Amino acid sequence: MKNSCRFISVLSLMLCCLACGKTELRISEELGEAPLIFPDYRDVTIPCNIAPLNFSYKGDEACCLLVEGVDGEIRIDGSEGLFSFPASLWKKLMERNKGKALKLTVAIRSGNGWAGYEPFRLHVAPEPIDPYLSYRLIPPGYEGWKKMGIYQRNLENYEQTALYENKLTDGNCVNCHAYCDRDPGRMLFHARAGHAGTVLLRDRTVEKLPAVADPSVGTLVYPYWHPSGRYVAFSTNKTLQSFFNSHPNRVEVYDTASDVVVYDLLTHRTAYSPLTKSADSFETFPAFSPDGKQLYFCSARAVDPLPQKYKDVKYSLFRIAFDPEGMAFGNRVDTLYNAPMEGKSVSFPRISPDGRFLAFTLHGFGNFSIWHKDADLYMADLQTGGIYPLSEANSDDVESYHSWSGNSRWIVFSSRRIDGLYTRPFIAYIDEAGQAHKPFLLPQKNPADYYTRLMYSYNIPELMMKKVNVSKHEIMNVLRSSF
Amino acid sequence: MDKKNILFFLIAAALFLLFGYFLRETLQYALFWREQQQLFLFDWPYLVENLSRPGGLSILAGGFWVQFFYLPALAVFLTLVLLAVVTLCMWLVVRTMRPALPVYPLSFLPALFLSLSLFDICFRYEAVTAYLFAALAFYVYSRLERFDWKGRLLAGGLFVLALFYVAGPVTVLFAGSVLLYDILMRREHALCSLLYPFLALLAGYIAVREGAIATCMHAYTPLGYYEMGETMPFFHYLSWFMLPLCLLVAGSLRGQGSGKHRLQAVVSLAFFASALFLFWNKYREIRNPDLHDSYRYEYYAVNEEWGKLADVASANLHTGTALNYLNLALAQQGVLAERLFFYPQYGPNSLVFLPRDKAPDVKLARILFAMGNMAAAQNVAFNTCFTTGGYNPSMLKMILQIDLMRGAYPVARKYIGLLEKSLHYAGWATAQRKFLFDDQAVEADPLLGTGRRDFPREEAFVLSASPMDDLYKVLATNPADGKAMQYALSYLLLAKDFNHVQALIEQYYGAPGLKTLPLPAQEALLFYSDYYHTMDENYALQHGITQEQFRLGQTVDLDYCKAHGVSQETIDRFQRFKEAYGKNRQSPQALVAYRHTFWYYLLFTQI
Repeated sequence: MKNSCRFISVLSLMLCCLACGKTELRISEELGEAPLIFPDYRDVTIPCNIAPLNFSYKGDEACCLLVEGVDGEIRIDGSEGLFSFPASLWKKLMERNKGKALKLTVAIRSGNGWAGYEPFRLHVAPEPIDPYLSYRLIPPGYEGWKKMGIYQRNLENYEQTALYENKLTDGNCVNCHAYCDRDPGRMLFHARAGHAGTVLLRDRTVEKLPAVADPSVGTLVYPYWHPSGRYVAFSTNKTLQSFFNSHPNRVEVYDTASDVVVYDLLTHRTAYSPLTKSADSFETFPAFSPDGKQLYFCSARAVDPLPQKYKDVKYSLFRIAFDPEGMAFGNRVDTLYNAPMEGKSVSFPRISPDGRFLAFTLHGFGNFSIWHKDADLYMADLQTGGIYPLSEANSDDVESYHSWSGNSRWIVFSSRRIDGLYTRPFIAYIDEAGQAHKPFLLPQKNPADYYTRLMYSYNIPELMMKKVNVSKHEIMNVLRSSF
Repeated sequence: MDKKNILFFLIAAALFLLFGYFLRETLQYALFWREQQQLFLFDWPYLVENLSRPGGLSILAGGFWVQFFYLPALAVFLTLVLLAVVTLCMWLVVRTMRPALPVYPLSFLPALFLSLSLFDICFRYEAVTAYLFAALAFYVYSRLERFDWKGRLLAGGLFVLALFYVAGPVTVLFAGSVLLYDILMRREHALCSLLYPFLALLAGYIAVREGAIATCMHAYTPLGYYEMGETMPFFHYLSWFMLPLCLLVAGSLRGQGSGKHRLQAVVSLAFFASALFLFWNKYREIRNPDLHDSYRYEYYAVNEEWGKLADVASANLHTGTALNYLNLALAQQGVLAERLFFYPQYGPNSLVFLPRDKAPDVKLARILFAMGNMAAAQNVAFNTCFTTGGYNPSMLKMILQIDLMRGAYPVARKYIGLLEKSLHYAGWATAQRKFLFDDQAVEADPLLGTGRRDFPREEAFVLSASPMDDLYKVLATNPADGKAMQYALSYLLLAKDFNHVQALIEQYYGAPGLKTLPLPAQEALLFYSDYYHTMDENYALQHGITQEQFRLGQTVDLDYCKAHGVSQETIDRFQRFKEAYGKNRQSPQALVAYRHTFWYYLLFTQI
């Protein structure tokens, strides 16, 4: 049976090649340099269930691509520089080369022959990534917009559908979508302005979260679900932004007050500890541990006046015990990263589902890392306490928001490395030692064209185990209702 | 064409010429402003994205038409063409109801009231193209004479569904109107045409349920063509009411038999006249000349016709907008400080007004750009550009230029690529490619080079205090920026802050941006000198002037003034002014000869 499957696979591959009209190609000249391609997929590690990694050769010459895997070599001709993998061929390539590497050689016309660039490899990891990714698309100004929405993308193909678009509620702001353990059945997001509220999707029903009764608790902002699905930790932030006169960061977004509270979805009660809600500190970005017994959050000594002293705001990374039974907090915090001592600032702590690693963003100061060119991804090994940069994933530009896959082998993160302004999602493989491999840009049918044309930033990329299946109309009805 | 038709044609042509004149006088710059609210792209994904939603073709058709509105006269002409086609279709429909002559005036009414809606900028232009599609569909439907009732019903049903896809909510109007038409024309099984409204309502309901349209009001009424989040005034329904009303009037005339043409004509004309009266009253109610003027200023600003902008704005200085644009035009001509007091000014807000909210503000972006406050200009331009829903092209150009100044070439290249997909801006965008990744070319370019040098070295946030704080930083890094210098001087003059005027002159007189001293600055420096030389020291100290400031003031004597650009003629005039002021201390009228001086502004203008 196994053999016949293999035979059918090989035969299919050959048929695909024949269908593409491929003939044998002989490279008569070695160029001895790496090809200029977009996206830079050279030597990246990819999940075996990812959509085809189409890419473009950036030169003007006629070009073709030789792909060499366990079943031999196939050829793909470039169309205006674009190499498009047929979906079925790609799927088989992934299946047959799982745990191995594909060797790719870009060749260009040179006289009557072909000249080959240095080959590169696509490492096909056997571990799949969660099949869906959701994100908000918004112009990277954050003050003015017309259209925005929360979208979901099937990572196994190129299909993107709208989960919710603000055109249904008079163009208001929608933000901060969050899932319980990547489960699209338990999800929430906020809507602001005219039709404000927190939309909660649970057990196939859509509802608006009742307002917090405790007057000392401000507006709920950054959410993180407790793994039980009963609680959501929120930060409450008073956020402002100012614009630099010449700094390459352009914008500084800062909180003048913030706290962390836990909201009980059953009783609609909020709870907090003086260690998570204090006037002397700015607490933000809560995240539960996978067992639900720890709450991680960032905290900075409160600074005044702002924005004048914006560089003095540095967030440490803390952890406090949380008892889900009694909705109670421990009476001390552990410090995982001490900002006053180490000199930098932490945002977005995210613990791998296996509980082994904690990925976070580290930057010079403040908490809104997407506007910080120096922001990089770091990892804390929760077994050893060691902290190190994810060097392979980082770039000279911003790396910021990130989320883990269910098997703890992949992270998706935001980066502005392509043009310095428009945030794009990258996916990186995290090996068992907690090291990142070279990341790849979210695949598109024609990535060069797509990303050039797209005038929106990807915001809060969150992996999901499946698609959210709820009608936009239902969400709209909930938001438009007075409660 | 028979004589009657030629006559109809000539009357229609004359009426449209007259109406064209009216639109040119009242709407041309508002139409231009519509062009500034969109960027029509010759790009497949853009076309496909639009076509994939209900009413998408009318959006595309409207966008395609509006892209030519960069010339106001062309905008009026093209709008007239659309309105004329709507009228023609209406005429071709109502004339089938016979007798033709009496119903002729009625065919103008839907287009007339459709044009009324265009006075409201929140009413999107796609409503006109959607109406046009509906009118065309109506005309074709009225010609389905060869079909039996079943064939007609099938065709009509298909029309409804296709029209909903192509034009959106106007389908409800179409469906209701063709039902009415069938009844009035006593077509076979006319009541079966109730199917059309049912289909239109069903299509709208499905679109709402699928989340393609927000609410049923958006699916069934002109609200679907209105800016989201805004409250639509009732008068936008008028063009929708006019169509069935005209049919009803035409139908009622038809019922009176063929022997009463004169009476029918009188009834029709009376209805037309009443509608015209309603139109005129509504127009007077909704017109906003100040708003229209601001579109006009923006037209001249976009086209960099600074002389004309100064002329039109100065003729209308009762609004802050006009003053801001006037001063911008003067700054762009390099005469802001020189001619500042030729016009009534009311403090620094006359130069730049910072609203508390973050509303889109093209004027503010232009002023900040002229001030050399590039980061602030880019922020305002970005918000303005991306709140239109379809990019504001002149704001996009500004963002692009500032990114070139910053050396943010990959983003600049992205915006160039976007503009190159448009018809009107492609050439300009392509010309910017030469600056990409070429710092030398950017620095050598007068605009981009100055802008790049304007980015302050001292790190700070923009607009966190007054615009003057930012101007100081711009000048500290680029004292050669003449426009920034003009704005700085004018700002201080308008703030009556002659201490800082003196400090600015002390620091920058002779710098490339201040080679000569503008007359009002000369006047301010003389006043400063006189002020500190005639003041008793004890009095000064008692009134909050520090000793250091007092001593500094006393160092500014006439020799100092002359050395800093004050002419003998100004000194002499100041002497004369002082004498005149001594005699007529509380009488501005007596000093009217000095009304264009800083002295007059300082003493008699309240800010």
